[in-house]
Amino acid sequence: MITGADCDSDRVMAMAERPDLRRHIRIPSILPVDFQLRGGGGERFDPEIRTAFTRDLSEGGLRLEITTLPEVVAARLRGKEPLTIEVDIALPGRTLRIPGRVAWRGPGADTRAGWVVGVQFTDVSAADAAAITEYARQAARRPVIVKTVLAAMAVLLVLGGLVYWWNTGILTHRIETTRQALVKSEQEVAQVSDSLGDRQLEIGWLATQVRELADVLDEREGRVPPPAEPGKSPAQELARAIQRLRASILKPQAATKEHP
Amino acid sequence: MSPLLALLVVAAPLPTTVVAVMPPATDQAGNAWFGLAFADELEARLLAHTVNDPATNKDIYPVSVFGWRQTVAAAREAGITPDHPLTFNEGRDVARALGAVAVFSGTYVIKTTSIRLIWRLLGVGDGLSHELEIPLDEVGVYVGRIYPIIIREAGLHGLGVTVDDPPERPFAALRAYGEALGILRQQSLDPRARIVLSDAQLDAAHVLLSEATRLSPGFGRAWVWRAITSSMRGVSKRSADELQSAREAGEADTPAEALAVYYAFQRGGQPEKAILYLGSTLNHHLGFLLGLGYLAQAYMHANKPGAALQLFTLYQQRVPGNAWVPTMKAECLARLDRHDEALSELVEAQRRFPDSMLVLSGIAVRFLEMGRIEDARRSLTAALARSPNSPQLLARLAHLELESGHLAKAAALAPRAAAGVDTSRGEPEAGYPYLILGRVLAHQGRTADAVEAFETALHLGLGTSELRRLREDPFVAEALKDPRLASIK
Repeated sequence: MITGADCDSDRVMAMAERPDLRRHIRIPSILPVDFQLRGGGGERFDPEIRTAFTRDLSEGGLRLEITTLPEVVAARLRGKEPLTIEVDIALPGRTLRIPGRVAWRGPGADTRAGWVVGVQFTDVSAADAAAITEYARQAARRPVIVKTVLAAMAVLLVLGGLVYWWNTGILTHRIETTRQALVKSEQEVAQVSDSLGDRQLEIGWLATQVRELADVLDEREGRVPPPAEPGKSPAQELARAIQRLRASILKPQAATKEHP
Repeated sequence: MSPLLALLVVAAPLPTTVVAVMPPATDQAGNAWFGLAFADELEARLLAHTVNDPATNKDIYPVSVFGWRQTVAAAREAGITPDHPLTFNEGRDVARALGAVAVFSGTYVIKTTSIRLIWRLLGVGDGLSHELEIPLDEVGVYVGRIYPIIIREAGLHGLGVTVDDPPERPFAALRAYGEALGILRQQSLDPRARIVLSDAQLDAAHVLLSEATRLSPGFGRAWVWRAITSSMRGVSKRSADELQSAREAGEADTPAEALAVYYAFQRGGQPEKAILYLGSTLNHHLGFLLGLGYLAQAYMHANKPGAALQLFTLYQQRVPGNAWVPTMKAECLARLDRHDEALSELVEAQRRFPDSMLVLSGIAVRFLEMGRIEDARRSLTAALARSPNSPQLLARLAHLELESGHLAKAAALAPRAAAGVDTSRGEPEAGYPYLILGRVLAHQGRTADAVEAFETALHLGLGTSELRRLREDPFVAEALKDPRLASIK
């Protein structure tokens, strides 16, 4: 197996990498390409149609990454003679067949790639050029969209986090404040309720004692004390007992004789 | 006389102080349950002190106790609603109705973390009020502080027995217990009583008691009441298991447990065992008046009026101020064919309790038995003057008029008597007014109506002597042929 590492093509590579020499936008893309290498006059020396993948693509040419080649083909590539090439580029929806020339060649950047070949298209129809441009535009847009979406998501995530953190903080604070207010209110309600209960109890007990006093007065006057009325509140019981007491104490007394 | 009974009678100390426990009242809506739970706790504590000294076979504290159920019933009969603390006069009336010396009464309010209770003992001492602030979960402990004051104010000095405070109970357990008592208070605990509570009510009470025992597994009396509720519901196996749990929770041989076992045996048709068990506990708790009354009546129903007489005599020695006991003694004496003694007992009782409707009614019954119609009429008329709407008195007078051949007068009285019967607690032998109504209707030739009245009388319950008199009446023979009345034959 012969690899491109054996080929001295640094100069060509350096030229290819120079941005000022490019007339077209090259889009990093990996597309399957069927190709056939030919001699400088178009004569065929490799009967096979081989497959490789693009590294980038523009309407003016492409960079092809070739993994392996048989020795007979590799020898031609290793030499300095001009070579032509015919590539079938499988774009989404259609396949373009474009002739070109090998503009430069060199070893692959990693162990998987044996050769990297720069291809300059020599006869591109307007339709094919448009198809490549359209593909390039879409391909160029795709990472931007993805990046934009990702960035937007990241921003949203950060913003959401901030809002969540902010809200949680506010909410926690509000919950705690409300809880404290509730506890305080409950304590106050309990205090008021307990205090009311105490007063109710004391009034009820007082009513019992006032009733007892009224009973004593009734019995002394020969009256039968009335029974308690069921279902009365302590205050009503007390009022009734006081009324009885008042009636007993303030009843008209027989006029006493005045001493001269 | 059985050795058991002999022991009971020999053990009688004289005299005893009789304390009645009225549940404290509250004006707080929905909190009446605490009054019952508290009264029940206090009653149990006082009953624990009725225990006698095995060395001398004398009471350690000569105290007898009317429980809250008896006290509330007596208050109602005296026309007092138990929704407020008793005044002196009301306390006096309740004490008189029972023959008690002192009546516990009080009022309370449930607060956020405590219960404020004001209480006093009416009838003895200066009736000073006491006030307590009881932490919610320490009711049992605080009852432990109240009963020594009661013992002292009731004039009982001496020594005594130390009864450990009950384990602290969660307030929620006490609440569930009190709410269950609120349901069960409507049901008479006499095993011969009809069950007036619905299955749903009994189930609700059982659920509440189960909640009480779940929250406080050592709550012995909650287990006891669970067992009684199960007996009422007819689930005897569950009742037996719950009684076992009650014993394990420290209620073995207590008055409450004995009552539950007595109830279960009687409902299960084993009166001999019921009598034996209750008698055995009463041997150590002679002041357990509810049990003493039930035991004496159980002997009567077991056709042992002699034994019943001994027990009623013991009851009378412990509670001389009770007007019901002489009438029961007279009933026993009459069953023993000692009619003159029966009458003497009642005449003596009338001298001591001139206002007692029970005694006047008892005298009338004895006169009727002896064929002294006019004397009976005089007694009944006097009793009715005091209590003109009493169904029992009206029924007795209707009976008398019937025996005298005054059918029209009997027919005017009997429907009034039947209409006034209180069926709410299912008390046994409440069917007497309907029995008299049935007899009047039979005498009028209205056989179908008579059968209906007899059926109601049977449903409400009849005493054996009433049934005997019914069978002796030739006018009812036609009605008794009805298959619905087969049990009367």
